[in-house]
Amino acid sequence: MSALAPFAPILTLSLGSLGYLVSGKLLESNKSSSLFAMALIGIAAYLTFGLVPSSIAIEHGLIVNSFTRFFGALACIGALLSIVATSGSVGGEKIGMLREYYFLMITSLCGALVMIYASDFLTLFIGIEVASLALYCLCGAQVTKRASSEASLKYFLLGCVSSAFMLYGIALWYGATGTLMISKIPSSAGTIAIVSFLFMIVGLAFKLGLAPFHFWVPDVYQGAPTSVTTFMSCVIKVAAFAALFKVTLSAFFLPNEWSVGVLWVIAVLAMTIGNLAALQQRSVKRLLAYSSVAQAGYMMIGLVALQNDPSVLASSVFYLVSYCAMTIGAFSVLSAVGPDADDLQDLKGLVKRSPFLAICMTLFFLGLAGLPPSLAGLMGKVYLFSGALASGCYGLAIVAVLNSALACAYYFRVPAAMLFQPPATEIRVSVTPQAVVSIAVCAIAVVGLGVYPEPLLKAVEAVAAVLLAR
Amino acid sequence: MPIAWPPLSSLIIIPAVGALGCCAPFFSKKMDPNGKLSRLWSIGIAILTLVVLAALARGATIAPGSVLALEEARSWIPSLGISYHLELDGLSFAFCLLTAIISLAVIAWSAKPQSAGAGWYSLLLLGEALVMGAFLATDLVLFYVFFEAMLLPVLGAMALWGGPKRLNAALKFLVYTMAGSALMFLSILYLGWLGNSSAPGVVDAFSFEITNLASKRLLNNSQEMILGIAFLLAFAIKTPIVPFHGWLPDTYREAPHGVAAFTAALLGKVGIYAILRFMWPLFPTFMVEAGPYIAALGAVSVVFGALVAMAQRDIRSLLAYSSISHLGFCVLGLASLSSMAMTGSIFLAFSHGIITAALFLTFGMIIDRQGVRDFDSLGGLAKVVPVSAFFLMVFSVAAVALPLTSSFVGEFLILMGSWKAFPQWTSLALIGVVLGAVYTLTAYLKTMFGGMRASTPALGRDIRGCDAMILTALAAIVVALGVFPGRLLDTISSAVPMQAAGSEVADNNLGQGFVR
Repeated sequence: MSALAPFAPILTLSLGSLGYLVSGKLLESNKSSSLFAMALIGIAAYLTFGLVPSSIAIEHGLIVNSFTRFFGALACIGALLSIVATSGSVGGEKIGMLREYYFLMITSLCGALVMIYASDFLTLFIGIEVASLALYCLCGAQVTKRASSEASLKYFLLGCVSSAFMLYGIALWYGATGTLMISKIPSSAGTIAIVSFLFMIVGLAFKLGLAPFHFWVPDVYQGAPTSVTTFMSCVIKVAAFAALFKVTLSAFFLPNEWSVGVLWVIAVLAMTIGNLAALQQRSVKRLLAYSSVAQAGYMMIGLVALQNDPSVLASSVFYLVSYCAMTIGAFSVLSAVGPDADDLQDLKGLVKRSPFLAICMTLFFLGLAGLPPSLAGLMGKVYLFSGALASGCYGLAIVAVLNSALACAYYFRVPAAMLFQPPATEIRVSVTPQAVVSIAVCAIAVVGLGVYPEPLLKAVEAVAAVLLAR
Repeated sequence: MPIAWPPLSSLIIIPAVGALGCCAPFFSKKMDPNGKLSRLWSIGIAILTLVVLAALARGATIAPGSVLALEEARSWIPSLGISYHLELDGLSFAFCLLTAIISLAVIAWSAKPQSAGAGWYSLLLLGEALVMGAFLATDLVLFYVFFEAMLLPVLGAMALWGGPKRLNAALKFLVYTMAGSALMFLSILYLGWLGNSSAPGVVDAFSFEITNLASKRLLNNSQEMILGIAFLLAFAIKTPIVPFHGWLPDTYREAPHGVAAFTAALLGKVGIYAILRFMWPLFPTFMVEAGPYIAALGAVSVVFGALVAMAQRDIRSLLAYSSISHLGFCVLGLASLSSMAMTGSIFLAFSHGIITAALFLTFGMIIDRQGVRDFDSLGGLAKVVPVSAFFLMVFSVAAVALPLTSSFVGEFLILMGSWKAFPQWTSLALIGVVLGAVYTLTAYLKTMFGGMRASTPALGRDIRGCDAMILTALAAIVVALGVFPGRLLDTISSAVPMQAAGSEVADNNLGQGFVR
């Protein structure tokens, strides 16, 4: 039995999700099915915290250590917050199949957890596929809306290509080393290892939406129902970053000279292209999508600037946590405003229609821009950029800081529209209590993680130390 | 005497709490339709802040010969070496005093934007709290937080109650400032890391404490130059110095009068303050070597600002460009290697803050009442609004630095001090003095005397009551500091040599009794 313990959160989710398929009328309404989903994820999150680090599990394809526990908990909490926030507005999104909707969401989270806990490449790949397949369907959940189906198809086709890259990278790795375990690369691997690394990076960069593999991001973020976007923007990012850290650090022994160059280019491209493209957007969802590309670029700094100093990697993890709070919050607000709220026009004068939403949204956008009083973003940048400087990556740090100054130009537009422009309609936005709770939690996190970041700083340093343990 | 209550934080906490208090339900539009209650509350808060500041300074200097130096330090984020460290010395005191006075004046000023209620006072108090924080912080990251944050209430007030193109102006202001401070942000982090470089990998040794960083002398000359330029860029944009003033005309044209006064009097001063507070101790070699260039920028700002101001038709644009011109003097003084000129710079910055706020507020009231803002449509106002005309005269002659006004003392000290180091730039700035007199007095004559224009409405309420009291108080400060500058000068100069100690600025001829 103890050998099964590491599987507990994953088993809870996968077995629990079967409940949707056998429950018949019981889980038909939005209320009961969302409550069931919340309960499942809550149990999974609880079990994630309770896992004991063990080495037995390696043989079963999963590994439990403080790194996987941290990311697993982050993914669960993110999923929980996004489901709680959007459960009230899902009804308005005209999603015909609510039971399947929550089933798919739980399946996707389950896949994400497998990605996080995986200790060999095959398990990792299975996790990626489970998480992605469920998401492809979720993106098209709004069957009556063309953009939703388009997003689904686009995500599916591009996702398949990225999976192919990933799979081929894994095959090459197997060819080079003769094992599928995610562990140190033998020094004899040579050229094949480089090619394998490149293929895997391409595959994961697709999932993360890093430039130049970001073409699906704006269309999918915009076309998918906002509730799905909320879920995806956090959970998939967390899982894919966990996979990326694992692949690059545990297997490929970063830093080495050929890989850092590749990652540097990806990071710089993601920051710059993401920010430049976001400048042009009028759709808030597209704006946030491009901003997520840029933000993922910032988080890459931790990998590029890595010099065996856990604090640099820890800064990326810290930033990921604060980013999750901001992005869940921002999309939840958007979802609370209305099922089709997307254009900047829809947010005009929001402060008159719902002061709570407008103020929280302002906090999230200030956090994304790295401005006070949302200190989590600012402290994340302090940590990240000082890490880059400490490793001597001056060029990267300068590009990043100029990018974050540039980003203020478009982050400013959303709060400006909400606070300073007259509303198009006077109708008040009614916010469900669960959305209030979830958005408030995100807002408190965005401010609180900056005002009192010590516990999180300690935690992420421990996480980074595990990753770098050789 | 042990004080349990955090003494320096209270300067930040009191206005911040006051700002929060403005959101209380009994200040809402329903209970308080004219904003009278919230105005009274905010005036009370602003007065309380001023009193606390005065009491703190008095308490610290009560012993004869003691130098003002109060400190409050507690750890904030030890893992990143960021501390919550505030310090009040003579230099900070001058600017905190200015902040408290100007905030009180702007809050108590009766004319506010039409639709503004408690939110107006809330943002102003918040602005006061954050500017205070910027003037008190000695931890670089803490300073950066305040430096960025103080922009937000100003932007908010501007975007809510500004002119027709207010959103564009606000965006421009934000982007300029962010672009300027981005590289400073990076430089701060680099400094913090260098301070730690003796023990690589130990993050706990990070420190952003200014005295700590300065005493370590971490930088070689080329590093000093790169980081110095990054810092200078941020402060040059904030001040602003030509050619980094692109945001300024739009901001002052579109902002409500109170916000324009607040920005001109306080936000720009943070740049001046920070050059002396942070740049001299951190980059002494750079400041000495780049001194001629910085002085040149200052002198060019003086002349350029004056020339452009002469060409303006809009009163507020004129005030905006005249600010560039006057602050150019301060920059010139800060770059020269003389503690006399530095003291003069701070003194002039103080005096300019008072004068420019008074001018913005008074002209703002006239503009609002007459409904026009360029000189061509105004004239003969001295007959319509004699009291305003009187006050405007006082502040206009103070602005051109007539003897017996505070600006005279400041400009005189700057010119005296910088003459030895940069005679060429000082003479250039002297031309600016003349030009300044020309445009200021022309503007005054055009609007106040001359024939009444057809479009000038004959009816106009003059300044009275509370506003007259405010202007009287400000005028009294300007004249009192012009006649008896000794006390403030001593306070400032007690802190100045310490700032520039690293660069061996030796001519400490601003001893006791120099001014008296």
